[in-house]
Amino acid sequence: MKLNFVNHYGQEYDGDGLRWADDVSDFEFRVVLLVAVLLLATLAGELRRRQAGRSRAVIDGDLLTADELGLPLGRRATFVQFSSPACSPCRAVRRVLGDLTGSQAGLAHIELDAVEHLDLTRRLGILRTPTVLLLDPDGRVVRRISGPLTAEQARAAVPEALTSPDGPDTPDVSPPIRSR
Amino acid sequence: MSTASASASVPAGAAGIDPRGPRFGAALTTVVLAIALLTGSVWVLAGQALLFAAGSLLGVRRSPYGYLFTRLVRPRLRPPAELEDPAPPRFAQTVGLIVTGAGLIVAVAGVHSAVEVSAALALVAAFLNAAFGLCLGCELYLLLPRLGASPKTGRA
Repeated sequence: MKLNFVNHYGQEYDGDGLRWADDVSDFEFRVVLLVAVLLLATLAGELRRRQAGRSRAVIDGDLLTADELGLPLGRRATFVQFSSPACSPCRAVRRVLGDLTGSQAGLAHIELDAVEHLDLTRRLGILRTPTVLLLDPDGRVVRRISGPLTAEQARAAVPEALTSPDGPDTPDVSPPIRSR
Repeated sequence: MSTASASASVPAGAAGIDPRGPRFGAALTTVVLAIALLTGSVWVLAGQALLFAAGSLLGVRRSPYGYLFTRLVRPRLRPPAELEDPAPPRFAQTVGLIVTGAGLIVAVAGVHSAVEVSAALALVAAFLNAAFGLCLGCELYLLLPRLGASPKTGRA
């Protein structure tokens, strides 16, 4: 393949495409463009990486019912995971949450295909998969975690959910919250 | 209807691919797209569009980069810690094909800067995949049906 850097564009582009100052050559402009694009992508990737798995408190969250979710809620808390078939981190999250809810009483894990539940996806403003919502025993969304999360982050989210200001004032949460 | 754990996407026994394969392919794709951006060459972009088409139609394992990975790279690596569903990276190839294909069509129609614009967009996606393991195409999978369209390509 032949790479023709100089003057190739100056002529063809003439007023139609990219313009550059006369003292900057076509190739220099392109190098700057490439570096800018890569820097921007690095910034975006780094931001995403830092966000991943961080759980945020949801104030005045939606109320979800077992009927809507298709499965019973957990007595202490319920993880609702939105997944899609084209999402490989979703598998890891499924494993993490499956392990956690399997090992502690009163926790439930419900995984939904976001595309098959577009009504819920729209209502809850789910933009990416995996997104995990943590529900209190009443089914109210109290925390939201987007992006892949580790076992530790999942475990940490549970007591947070139950002690958050929006958490349950229902005294009938039978098993006391075990500290980590 | 609602789906319980484990039934939402891949069946448990499905054969997976080495997740380092798509990352390797994304790294090569990043290089090709960087060259397309540096040269503004329609031909380099067309070459990458063909590679995306191969990945989209044949699947990532039988695409040229997948083949290279299996033949040359994987034998030198330790076995993977876990396998990955091949559908998401394949869907990402389809998204790459749409972006570069649209760029080519617009460029051929006379707007030459479409080469740079589509190369830059695809470059961001390929770079994020190679460097961070983040799959932009896969995240679009949810946004498209939310807007009303229904992408069926990735489900194969």
